[in-house]
This record gives sequence, structure tokens and C-alpha cells, in this order.
Amino acid sequence: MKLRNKLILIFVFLSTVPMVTVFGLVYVKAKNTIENRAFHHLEAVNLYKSSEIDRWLTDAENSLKALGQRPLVVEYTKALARHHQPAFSDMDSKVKLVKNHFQIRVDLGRFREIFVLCPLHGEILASTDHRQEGKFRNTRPYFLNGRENTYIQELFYSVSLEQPTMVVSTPVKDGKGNLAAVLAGRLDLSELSEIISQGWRLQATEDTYLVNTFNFFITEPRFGDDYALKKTVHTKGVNACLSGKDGKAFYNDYRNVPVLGVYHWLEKYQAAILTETDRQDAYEPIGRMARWTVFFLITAVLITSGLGVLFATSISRPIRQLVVGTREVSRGNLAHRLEHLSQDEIGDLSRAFDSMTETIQKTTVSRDEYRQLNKELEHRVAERTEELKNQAAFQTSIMQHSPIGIVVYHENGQCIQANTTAAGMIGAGIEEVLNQNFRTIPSWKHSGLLVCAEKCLSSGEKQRTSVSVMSSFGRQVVLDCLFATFTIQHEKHLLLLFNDITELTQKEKDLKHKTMQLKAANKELESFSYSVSHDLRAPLRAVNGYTRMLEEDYEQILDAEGRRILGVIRSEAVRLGNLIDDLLTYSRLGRSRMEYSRIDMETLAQSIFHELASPDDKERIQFHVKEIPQATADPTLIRQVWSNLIDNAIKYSANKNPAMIEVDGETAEYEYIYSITDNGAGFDMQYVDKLFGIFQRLHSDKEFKGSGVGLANVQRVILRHGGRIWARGEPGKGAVIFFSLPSVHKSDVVKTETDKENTDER
Amino acid sequence: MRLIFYLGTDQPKTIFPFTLLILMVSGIFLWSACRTSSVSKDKVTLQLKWHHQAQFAGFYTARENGYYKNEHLDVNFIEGGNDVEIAEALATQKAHFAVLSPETVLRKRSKGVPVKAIAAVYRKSAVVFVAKNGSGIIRPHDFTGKTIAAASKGGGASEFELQLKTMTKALGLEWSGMNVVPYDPSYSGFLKGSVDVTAAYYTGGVIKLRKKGQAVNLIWPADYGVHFYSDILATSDEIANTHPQLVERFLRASLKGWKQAIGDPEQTVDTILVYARVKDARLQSAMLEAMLPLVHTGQGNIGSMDSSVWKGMYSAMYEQGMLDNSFDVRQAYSPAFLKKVYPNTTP
Repeated sequence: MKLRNKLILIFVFLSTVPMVTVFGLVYVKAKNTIENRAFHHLEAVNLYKSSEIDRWLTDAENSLKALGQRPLVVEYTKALARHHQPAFSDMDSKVKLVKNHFQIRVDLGRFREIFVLCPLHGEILASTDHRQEGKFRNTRPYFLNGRENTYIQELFYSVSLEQPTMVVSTPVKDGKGNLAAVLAGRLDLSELSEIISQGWRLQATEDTYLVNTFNFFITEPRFGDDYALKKTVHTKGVNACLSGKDGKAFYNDYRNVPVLGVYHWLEKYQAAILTETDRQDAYEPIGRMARWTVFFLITAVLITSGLGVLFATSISRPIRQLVVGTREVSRGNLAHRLEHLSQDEIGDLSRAFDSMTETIQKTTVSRDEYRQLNKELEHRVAERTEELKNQAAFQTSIMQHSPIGIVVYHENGQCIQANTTAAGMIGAGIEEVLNQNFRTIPSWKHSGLLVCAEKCLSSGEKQRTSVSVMSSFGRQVVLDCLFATFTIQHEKHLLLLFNDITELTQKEKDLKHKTMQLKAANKELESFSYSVSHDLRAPLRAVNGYTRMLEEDYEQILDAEGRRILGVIRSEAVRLGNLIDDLLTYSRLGRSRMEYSRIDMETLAQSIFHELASPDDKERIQFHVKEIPQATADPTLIRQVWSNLIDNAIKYSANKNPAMIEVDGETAEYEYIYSITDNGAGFDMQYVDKLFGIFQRLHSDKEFKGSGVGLANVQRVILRHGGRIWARGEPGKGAVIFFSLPSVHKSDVVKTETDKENTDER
Repeated sequence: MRLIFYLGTDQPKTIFPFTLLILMVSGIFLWSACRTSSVSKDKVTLQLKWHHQAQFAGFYTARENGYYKNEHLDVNFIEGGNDVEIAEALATQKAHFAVLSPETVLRKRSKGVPVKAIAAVYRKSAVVFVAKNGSGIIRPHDFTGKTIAAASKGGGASEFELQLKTMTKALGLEWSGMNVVPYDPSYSGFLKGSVDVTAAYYTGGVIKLRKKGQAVNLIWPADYGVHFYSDILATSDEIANTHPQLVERFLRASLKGWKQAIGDPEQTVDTILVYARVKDARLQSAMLEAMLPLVHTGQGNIGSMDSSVWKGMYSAMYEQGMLDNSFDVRQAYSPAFLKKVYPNTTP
């Protein structure tokens, strides 16, 4: 059975059973109490009425007895009896008797009739009811017994009187104790009825009545219709009482209605007096109480059932939800949460469950994540491994294919890796190389490699040396060895890279030789140039001088043509002179000594422009110098550079208005790069190589004046500084000349500078 | 002893003792039923005094309530009537028992008819003398010089006259002083006024007169020392001698019937109506009411007979010459059966 129903049943049972038990007990107790109370009341009534009847009858007895003992009564009855005549004949005493004593007594109540009986024959001698006079009552017990003692005859139906009668009789005795007559009194039964019927009644159906030995009602019962002495009653109570007992019982009365009955046997009167009340009546309070209690009981049961249902539901519902929850979770729905179920232990359980589910979910999530991650990781690992493999392969390829010999030694000297090139270079097999320990290689000692290696290992700095070794082929090889050290996994390793520079060395040697030759030639050339130019100057001066003389002295003689020819000669001579000058300068430039100092390029450029540009030029030309770095170079030469460049710029932008000349510069890693941009004539990039050639001109002299030496000079200077020079241009649009000057200067560099020939960047 | 009965299954069933028990019990029931119904149910005939009416209520009750059956008697009633000779019925054994007047019992007895009274159902005579209320006639002494309708029409002796004479004698009144005229059941003379006093039955005529609205004064002979029984239950000497137990049983049942009848008049009326010729509930009820105190006098048991009463009746009848012969009145009645029925009381 479902827990809920079980709980409801238990709840209802636990609440109902005590209630019902209590109710039952209370009911029984109350019933008993009420019963007892009812019986007590009935007993009280019964007793009271019995005593009332007794009192009444006893009173009647005593009253009659007293009457019968009155001297006058005695006298008159005696007289009456003596006559033994029809009573009505003796008027005198009878009248006296009747009028004076009996009638008064009758008027007082209790007796309906008082009469005197002849003691012998039982004839009624005198009576307050004169119609009775003359009747004989000799068979009547009251007569028969009344002769002896005061007697009450039990109630009977008198056919003669056609009514129930109860007679009290008493002997009338004279002074001597002789029976004079029997005095009898017929009781007023209405008084008896009154006694029976009157009185306090607690219940509506309470009734008291008398029953004689023949089971006839003596008095009219409440619910009887002319029962008195007409109907018999044989109820349990009556029968019990008529057997002489007193008691109380439950039985069905003469109406066959269940009653509570109390009965008392009146021995003296041979009658049963019963006091009854309907059971229903007596129990009415119980009935009421029972009904109320049942109502409350039912209500309480309903309420408790309701509460039970609530209670059970409050327990079973969360439990069911827990069940649902567990099912959900077991199905895999980890997001399922039990709503806040209750505040009690089950609520705790539900919250615990929720947190458990959450944890599981998290765990599952993290597990899933973990798995996912794992997968990813694996994937990545695989990828990485692949990558690494590839890399490794790549590295290995690099290593193996490297034209440079690569050998890796552990600091303990053992060779760890080597490439085939290395092996080839030293003319050994790779296995041989791998087996080596550099500390044990004799050639290393000889060549000083070991020292270098150790130095590298100890200092941690790169070491470079070249060694000349005998290869296994018997060839002398020169190896350029580079040592580096690195630490992997806390272990120092030595990396050796070597290159066969035998050829290179040789080439170097050749080059050196050639360079020296070249230098010598150059020097010769320079000398030649100098001397030539110098030597050339003299005749030129003479030409120039004589031409001038001619011009001055013979200007008038000459015709136009002659003057023109002279002019031409002069201009050409001038030109020649310029050329020679330039050539001289050019050669000088190659020979002069350079002295370095810091140069403010910006200021320099500005001042040169101001010098070189005419006022017109300054108007026409927009000359900007941007923020450019200072350089460390020979000031004079650099001045020359700027002069030439700015001059060129001015010159070639003569046709432009406005002309823009911009000087810019920047700091590069090892050099300062400067540029001068103009929007002048420009040049065709096709002929860029020729730009810096000596006497190379990309424009005719007619277009622009110039010897073609300017840029060559500039190049010379720049090259002498160890910088670079290059240019960009577009015909008609302009040109940019770039040059760079090294920023890093070492004395070595200075020394070897003159040997250098840096190629231009093309 | 156990009989194991196999009913086709492995389980043995013990049915013998159980069924035997059932058989025995049912057998007993059948046997006792048979006993009650068939074995020794005596057929008995009761000759009633008159037509079926309330007068015989007790017998009807005894029959209807099964008292006769309990005594294993199958009782049959024969109505009386004008032409019915009740004592003869007994004598000729046409009836086993009869209801008849004590006068008849004594008369027949004196004639030698072996009628024996076993109970006095009506211990008080229903005979009463009626005078108009207001006539001033309140006692027999007032009868002097009055016309009294009491004589029998036929000229024979009537019980009215018998009681009147007895009463007159008891009181010492002058018989000659009374003008006794025949009794008229219609009471026309009485009602008209030509008759001063009429005899009547308290259970009959008086009811009739009162029903007519006539207020009456009742003069009871019993008040004046005349004690007569009314209906007597009698049997024949032979039956009394040869079947005493039958008589006892019949008497017991009959008296029980009478006791019950008296005890519950309402129910008794219904019972009467089963038999009564005149199905008038009111009439029968009135009759019943009137006769009850004559049966249950308030003293002694129903049916009890007092020898002094029998003596008195015998004397009266004998003195008035109503009996042919003298005889021992004690032969006319037997208290023996009453003793059996009422063992604890003196009859």
C-alpha cells in the first residue's frame, strides 16, 4: 500500500481509535450516570408516592378508626345496630350520625362515603349515601375483616357501584370491647389518583401506577385509556413486583415501549406501585449527547482525516518528488532540481539530494569536460607530437641538410648529435663523430679548439675561431668554428658549428691581394688625377687668361662672330676649369683624412640652404627640414654632401613653382637614414645606376648645369663613412635621395673602413 | 467412530459426525412437531349457551391463542340458541363440555341428568333489576306495589323470577306486594312506563337500555344477599369420571383463555369478532366491558366455585319449587378440576 495511504490510515486510526475509545467510555459512563440518575429519580418518585399512598391510606385508616372510637359514634351505631331494622327506618339517630359526624367527615375529603354495617349480616345500616342503605356487604373482606381490625380492602371494581372502590373499615366497639358495628369508609379514589399522578416530573413520560395481584391496573396509567381495573398488565416489572419483590429494571411496558421501571411491593395493600419512564426519554440527554458526540467525532475524524491527508501528502509528495528526482537523475537529467520541498527532514533530504545532484552534475560536467579536455589534450598532444615530430623532423632535416657542420656535445665532452655535413667535413663517419668526446680528440688540442671550447663552456659566451686542420683525406682545411653553450634540463651542452672556409679563406686571400692591387692602382690613379688636374690647370689658366686678354683688348676688333667664338672659348674654358676642379675635389675627397664629430644635421641642412639659395629661390622654394638625428661623421665632408644634395635639389626644381624641398631623417637600428625630397625634374628610374656615376649626367647641360660629379662625390663621401646611398625618382615629379650613416662606430670599424666598399641598396 | 470420506481429492473429509448431528437435530424437530400435531390431539366439542358473542370470550381466546392446542385439544364450538338443549347435548355426548346456567345445571341434575359443573365462569350473576332513574326505586324494598317484569313468558320459572323471589325472601319483603309480569326483552313496557322495574342482564338489556339513553337505577340481587353464578362450564359425569385429565386440560386452557381475555379487552374484542354473529365491535366491546367484573370479581381465581353459593342456589331453587327432586348439590359440581388448575389456592 502506498505510504501516503498508510500514513493516512495510521493517522486516522491513531486519532480515531482513542477518540472512539474515549467517546465509548464517556458514553458508557454518561449512560450509566444518566441511567442511575434516572433510576434514582424514579426510585425517589416511587418511594415518595408509595409513602404518600401509605400516608394517605394510613391517614384514612386512622381517621376512620378515630371516628369509630368517638363516643357519640359508638353510641349512635350501637343504637342503630340494636334495632336491626331496615336502617332507613330509624331516622333519628341515623340522621344525627350521618349529619353530625359522617357527612362532616366526608366533606373534609378522603372519604366518598362513610357507612355503618351491621356486625352480624353486614347490612348497611347508615350511610352518607342513603342509596346504599339496606345493601348487604357480608361477603366483602372489609366487612369480614373490619369486624376485627381496621382494614383496607384492596381496590376492586364494585359492580354494584359500577366503579372501582376501595374501602377502609374499622370495628366500632363499645366500652366493653364488644363489636357494635363495622364502620366503613369508601375512599375518594380521585385523591389517590391525584397522589399517583401529581408530583414533580423530570421527564415527560414519567408515570406511576398501581397494579393489583390480578395484574389489573388499579390506577389509570398515563398512557392508558380506561385501563383501571379493566386491563391487566404482565410486564416484567409488574410480574417481578407482584411476586413480592422491589427493584428496578429495563423492560417493555404495557405499551410495549422500552422503559426504565422502578417497582415496589406494597405488602399492606397487596399492590405493586410502579414508576416508569420511557427509556428514550431518560436517555434523551444521552441521545443528545451521543448525537453531539457523534457529530463531533465525525467532524474530528473528518478533520483528522483531512489533516492526515495533508500530513501524509506533505510527507509522500516530497518523497514522490524525490523518487521522480532520482529517476530523472538516473535517466541522466542532471539539471533536474527538486524545488524547495519543505522545512523538515525531508526538505533537508531534498536539499541534500539537490546538492548531490549538483555535485554529480559538476563532477560529470567536469568529468565530461575533463574527458573533453583530455580528448582535446590528446588531440593537441597528438597534434603537438605531430608538430614536434614534424619540427623534429624539420630540425633534423635542417640539421642534416645544413651545409654547416653542427655538432652537439654534452659538457662532459660526449658528442650527442652531429650532422652528416660535420662528419663529411672532418672526413669521418657519423657514428665515429657520435662516439667522440671532444676532450679526447687530439686535433682539438693542437688546433686550440679545445681551449676555445672550454672557454665557451666556462664563460658561457660565444666563441669563434678558425682552425686549420688536416682532414682524413690529407687535405688541409680551414674551419670556421663557432661555439655556443646552452643548458637543457640543467645540463650544459656545447654547440659547435663549423664551416669549411678553406675556399673562402683562399678567396679572402685573393681578394686581399686584389684589393691591395686595386688600392695601389687607385692611389696611382688619384695621384695621376691630382697631378693631371693640377697640371691641367696651368694651361687652362693660360687659356683663360689669354682669352680674357683677348676679350678685353681686342673686343672692338672682333666682330660678332669673333666675340661669340671668344665667348664660347671662355665658357668652355670655364667649364673645363670646373671639371678639373671637380675632378680635383673628387680625387681629394678620396685622399683626405676623415675626422669624426657629432653633426647637427638639421642645422647644417638649413644653413646650407640659406647659403646656396638665392632670394628668388627662397621665395619660390619651400624648404623644410624635419627633425632629423644627429650624425657622427666628418663635418667637412658631410657639408659637402649636403651642399651637393641641396644644390641639386634647388637646381633641378628650378622649373617648379612652388618648389618643395624636404629633408627628412630617421634613426634605424644601426644607422641614421636621411633623405632629401624635391618635386623637381626627377629622373627615370631606368638610369638610377648611372645617377651616382662620375661624370654621368641624366640631363643635358642645357637643361641643367652641372658637371655630373656632384652625386658621385656624395657617394664617395657616404661610402667613406660606411653608409649607403640610393635614390628614387620620377621624371617630372621629383626625386628622393637617401643616404645612411652608420650609428655604431667601433675603432675597428674606423680602421677597416677604408677597405670597405658597401654596395648600394638597389 | 469416524468414517473417512474421500471426495475425489487427496484431502480426507470427516463428514460423518457433522451430518449425523444435523440429522439428529432435524429428526428431533420433526418428531416433536409430529407429536404436537398428530399424536393424541383430542377432539373436543363445547356447547355454548347462546349464539356466538362476547359472552364466551374466554373460550374464543383459548382457541385463538392456542391454549387448547397446547393442551393437545382440538376444540369445536357449537352455538346455543332457542332450540338448543344444552344439557341434552352433554347428556347425549353431542358435546363434551357445555356452558350453561347454574339453574339449568341444578334443574337437570334434579332430573337426573348427569351434568357436572367444573367451573363458574361468571361468578357474579348478570341478572339485575332495572328501574328508571328518578323513579325513586332504588332498592328491593321499593318494589312493593310496583310492576316488575321478571316472569318468564312461558309461564315457567325464569332465573329473573328466581332471583327476585330469593331476594324478596332474603329481605323479608312481601311477594304478594309485587306485581310480577313477564319479562319483555324489548323493554317496551318499561320504557313506556307501564312497567316500573324490569329484570335484565347487565351484559345485555342494561346496555341496550342505556344505549337508548335511558338512565337507570340498578338493583343487584347480590347486594341483598342473593348470590348466584351465571355461566357455568360443565361436563357430563361420565367424561368427568373417565377422562379426568381431558377435563383438566380443557379447564386449564379455558380458564387461561378467560384470564387472558379479561386482561386484554381490546384484543379480546377482536377475537370475539372472529366468532360473533353480530359483527358490531362497539356492541361486543360494551358487552365485554360489562361482563368482565362478573368473571373477575376481584376476589379469588376465575372460575372458582364456592360451595356456599351452590348451596344457596340449590336452596333457593328448591324452596321455590324449581327443582323436581332434592339431591346432594355437591354432585352438581366438582371443585376437583379447579384444584388441579389452581393448585396453590383454596377454591
